[in-house]
Amino acid sequence: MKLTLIQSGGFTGKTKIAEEDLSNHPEELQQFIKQAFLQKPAKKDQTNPDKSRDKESYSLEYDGTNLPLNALAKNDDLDKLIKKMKANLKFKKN
Amino acid sequence: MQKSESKPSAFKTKVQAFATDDKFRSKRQLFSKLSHGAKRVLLHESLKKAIKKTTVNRAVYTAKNKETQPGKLVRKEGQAAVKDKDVNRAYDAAGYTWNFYYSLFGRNSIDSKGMKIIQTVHYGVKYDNAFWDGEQMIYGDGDGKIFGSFTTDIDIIGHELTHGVVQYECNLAYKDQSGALNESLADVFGTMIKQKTLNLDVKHADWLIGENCLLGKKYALRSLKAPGTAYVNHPDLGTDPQPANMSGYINDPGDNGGVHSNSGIPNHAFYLAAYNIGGYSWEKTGRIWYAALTDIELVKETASFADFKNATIVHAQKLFPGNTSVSDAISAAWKSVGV
Repeated sequence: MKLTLIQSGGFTGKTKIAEEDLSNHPEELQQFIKQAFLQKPAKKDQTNPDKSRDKESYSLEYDGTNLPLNALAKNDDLDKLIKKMKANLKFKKN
Repeated sequence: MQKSESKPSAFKTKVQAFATDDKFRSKRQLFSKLSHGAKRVLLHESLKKAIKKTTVNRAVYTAKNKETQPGKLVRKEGQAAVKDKDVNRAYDAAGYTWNFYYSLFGRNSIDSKGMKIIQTVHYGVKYDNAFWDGEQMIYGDGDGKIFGSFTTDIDIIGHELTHGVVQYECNLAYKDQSGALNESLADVFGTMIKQKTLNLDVKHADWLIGENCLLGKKYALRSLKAPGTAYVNHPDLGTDPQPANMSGYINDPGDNGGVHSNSGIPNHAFYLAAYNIGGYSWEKTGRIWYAALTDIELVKETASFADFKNATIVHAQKLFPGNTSVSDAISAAWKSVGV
């Protein structure tokens, strides 16, 4: 299954994406992500609180569902994966 | 002659300065448009503002390519230019932007109360964006391949500072139509600040946003004149997705309902109105748009395009009561874009 990191917002408003094939990752991490997307978000989206709404925001897409990045519970393996995906973000072509 | 008679009181001197000094000209012009009752209410506050020494207060920091803010102070108000071009460009453009708002609308900075204008340059590594974080502006250097420095366009700096102005006025919610209006106002005032600084009328202005920071001579990020054409077949970005008409309205959940795309619709309405009214955009159309954005009764946080259209028509009639051609041009512009 594929996990997509989406970055949007800021002055440019251009979307950047990075994709990762989860089958190359430990089963534990795959299950964590699957469960996270099956459950309701653990906390309210605070990616773009009112005052910093012009700032870039990040979301994750998995199996057709989109969640704000910070809606997922803390997980060290996921953090490492997100760090790697952030380094690989590319502009989405219109 | 007694000393007290030869030297006028400080208060009298200040009032005389308000009445005659060139730097208060725009404030006087705005003041002259008010009704007698409104003048009485505002007289005390206007004089207080005029008496108070009004100057811009800028501070530019560097993040030294880390994602920190504000970072290390490099240049503050009144200091001479430094070696760093990004620092100087941010400093100068913030000055032009402050002057635009103050000289035309009597607005003293982002909050209209003299707020310090804080900017951070060199944010992150090859960071290809800029943003207003609710308290200050932040600019990246760009990756050098697709984007150059985000301080290279005065309209970007005007755009970001205007997000602050909107926050302190109608405070438009950042999603769907109100979010697109928020983005549009930042573009509209960003481009007007460029036009005013360069003294360009509506026919000679390029109506482009970010023409320097998006690298490549034939590219800009957005066009108010022709949304959807700012860049075409760009090797990395593709083609500008902005619609110019409601028929092309995009619902993009990844961009808060398409705030950066659908801003093309009110952007184009402003262009059409300004072009058809003629002259300099800030003289009539800009005044009307500013009056609308500061009217929190007509433009609420969740305002739609139609709400903003209504506010611009109401203020066109108020500001130019004997000239129906202005409100007619504004009404026609909104109709042209399908609002």
